[in-house]
Amino acid sequence: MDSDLRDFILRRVVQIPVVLFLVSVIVFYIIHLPEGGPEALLSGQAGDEAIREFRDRYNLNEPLYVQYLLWIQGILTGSLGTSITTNQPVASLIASRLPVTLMLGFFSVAISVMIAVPAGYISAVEQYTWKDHTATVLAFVGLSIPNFFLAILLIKLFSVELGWLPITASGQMFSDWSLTLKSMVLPSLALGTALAAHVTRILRSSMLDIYSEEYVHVARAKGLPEKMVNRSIVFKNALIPVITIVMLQMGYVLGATVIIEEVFAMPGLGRLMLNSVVGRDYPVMQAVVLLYATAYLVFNLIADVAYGLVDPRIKYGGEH
Amino acid sequence: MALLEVENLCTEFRTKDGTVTAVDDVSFTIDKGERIGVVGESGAGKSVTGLSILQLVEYPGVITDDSSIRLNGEDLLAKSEDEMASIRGNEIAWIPQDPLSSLNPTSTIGEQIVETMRIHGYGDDENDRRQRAISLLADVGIPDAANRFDDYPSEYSGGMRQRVLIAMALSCEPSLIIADEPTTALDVSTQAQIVNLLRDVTSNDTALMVITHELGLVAELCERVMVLYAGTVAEKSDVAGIFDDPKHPYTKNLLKCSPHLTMGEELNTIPGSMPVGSERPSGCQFHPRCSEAMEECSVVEPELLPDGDGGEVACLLHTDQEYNMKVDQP
Repeated sequence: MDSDLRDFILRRVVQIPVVLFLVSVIVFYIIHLPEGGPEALLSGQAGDEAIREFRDRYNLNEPLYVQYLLWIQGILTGSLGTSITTNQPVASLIASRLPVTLMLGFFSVAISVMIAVPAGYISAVEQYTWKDHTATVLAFVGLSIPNFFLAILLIKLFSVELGWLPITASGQMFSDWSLTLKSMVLPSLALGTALAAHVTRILRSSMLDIYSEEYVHVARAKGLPEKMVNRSIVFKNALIPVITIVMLQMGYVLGATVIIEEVFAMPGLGRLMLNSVVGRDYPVMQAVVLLYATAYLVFNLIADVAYGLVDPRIKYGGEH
Repeated sequence: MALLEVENLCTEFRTKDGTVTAVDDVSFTIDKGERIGVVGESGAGKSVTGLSILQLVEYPGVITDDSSIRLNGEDLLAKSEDEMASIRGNEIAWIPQDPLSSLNPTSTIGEQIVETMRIHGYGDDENDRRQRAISLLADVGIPDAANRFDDYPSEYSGGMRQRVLIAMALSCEPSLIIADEPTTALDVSTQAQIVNLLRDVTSNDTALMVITHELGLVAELCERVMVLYAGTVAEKSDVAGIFDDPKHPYTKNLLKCSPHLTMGEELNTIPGSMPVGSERPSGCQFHPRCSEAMEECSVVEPELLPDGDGGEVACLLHTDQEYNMKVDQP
C-alpha cells in the first residue's frame, strides 16, 4: 500500500467521528421529539410513583442536552445503556443480532453478483439479441417488484407449495446450522434479486460505454480476438463503476434488511430496530441507528478505496 | 508485386436514411518500404480507407463485393475474422489518432506491448517479449524505459503515449503501418519528434500509410501522395509533383489553405463544403466548389487518368488538355 493511499484512508477515517457526532445529535433529537415518553406504555398498569421512578432511572427528567451528554458519555465508556423493554444491555442485544444481519447482507450481495455479472456481460456482448432483451425485461421486473412482495411470493412457492425451504429458523438460528443456512436462502433471494437487477443494468451500460472507447478499437487493431476484447479490455474496465455501485448498495441492503427480517421473522438488527421503535425503547433505537450510520460510512470508505485500487488513474492525495 | 494492392474499394454505410458511400471506387498500391500520404478534408474517406484495409469499419459500414484488397497477393477480403485478427497488429499495424484515449487505462504500458506480441506468438517466451518491449520503448525515445515499463498510461504524457503506440505498432515487425493522423493531437515540438521517429522506424522494409489533412506532414514524411475528395481519388502523385505542380484544382486549393509562417497573410479557404451523406452532386464531386469548373464538369464524372508527369488526376481540365495534346501531335 503506498503512502498516498494510507494518508487518504487516514483522512477519511478521521472524518468519520465528525459525521457520527452530527448523526448522533440528529438521531437523538428526532427520537426525543414526539410527546410522551416510553412510560406511556406503562401507564395502563403503573401508578404515578412507578412512572416517576421509571423516568428517574432513564434520566428522562433531565434536560435533553444532559440526556444527550449522558448517552455519549456512556458510548465513550463502552456502555450503550440498557434496553427499556427487555432490561438487557444494548451491547449484548446488538452482538446477538448482528451475525444474522451480516449473513443476510453477505448472501444477498453474493447472489446479486452471481446473477448480475453473467447477465450484464451477456446483455452487453450480445446487445439487442433475445438474451439481452430477456435480461432487460427480467431486470425491470426485478427492479419493480417490492422485495417484501417478492418475499411473500417466494414463501408461497418454496415453503408452502413445494416445502423445499423453511420460512424461518425461528429459535434454532445458529444452533442448527443446516436449518440456519436453509432459512437464509429465501430472504437472500428476495433481497438479492432486486440488487442483481440493478447491477445487471449498470454492468451492461458500463460495458456498452467502454465499447465506444478508442482503446477498444486499438485493441482490435492490434489483433486481439473479440473474446479477449470483451473479457480483458471491456469487462475489466467496466467493473470499476460496478464495484463502487455494489459497495454503495451495501447501505441499501442495510435498510432493506429491516423489512426482510420482519417478513421472515429473523432475529436480526433490522427487527431489533423496528421493535425498539414500536416499543419506544430509546437506548436500543439510538444505538442501532448509530450503528447503521457507522456501517454506511465504512461501506462508503471501502467503495472509495476499492475504486482507487482497481483504477490506476485515481490518485489519492493529489498534492503533487 | 506491390505489398498492398487496393482495387475498386467501395465502403458504404447502409443506414436507415439511405446508403452513404464513404469510399467510392478507390484504387492504389503501396510498395514494400514505401511511405504514402493520404490527404483530404475531414470526411473525405481517408480513415475509412485505412480501416477498410484492416476490416475494422464499424457497423453499419460495409465493404462492397466488387472491392479487392490484397496483401502480398493474398485476398484479405476472403479471410475469416480469425485470420484477419492474426494479420492485424502482426502484418498490418495501426497507429491511432488520439494517444490520450488509445491505451487501456487499467493495463500497464509494458503489458499492452507484450500482449500484442503474445497474441501473435512473437518472441520465444515472456522474458524475450519483455526485453524486446523495453528495447522498443527505448528505441521510440522513452527515457528509462525499463523502469517505466510497469507504469500505467495515466503516468505518461500525450507525446510519450504516441511513442508507446508506435512501439506497439512496431512490436511484431509489420510490413505495413497505417497511421491515422498520428500527430494531430500533439503540440508542435512533439509533432516534429514523432514525424522524425516515424521516418526512422519505417526506413527499412516497413511501409507506411499516413492518413492526414496536414500537407506539411506529407512533405516531411512521404514519397507519394493520394488526395481524396468525397471518397474519390482526386489526384495521385509523388510528393514533389504535389507541391511544385499540383494538377487538380482541389489540390491547389488545399495547398493554399495550409498555414505558412508569414505574418498577416490571410489564409485561403475553399468556398462551400464537401458533400456528405447520401446527397452527392452529379459529375465531378468537386465542381460546385471549383473556381475553374466548366459546363461539362456537372455532367461528366472525370476518370483518374495519367497526368503526363508520372501522376494521375481526375479532372476534365487536365485529361482534356492531355487529349488535345495527343491530337495536336502528328
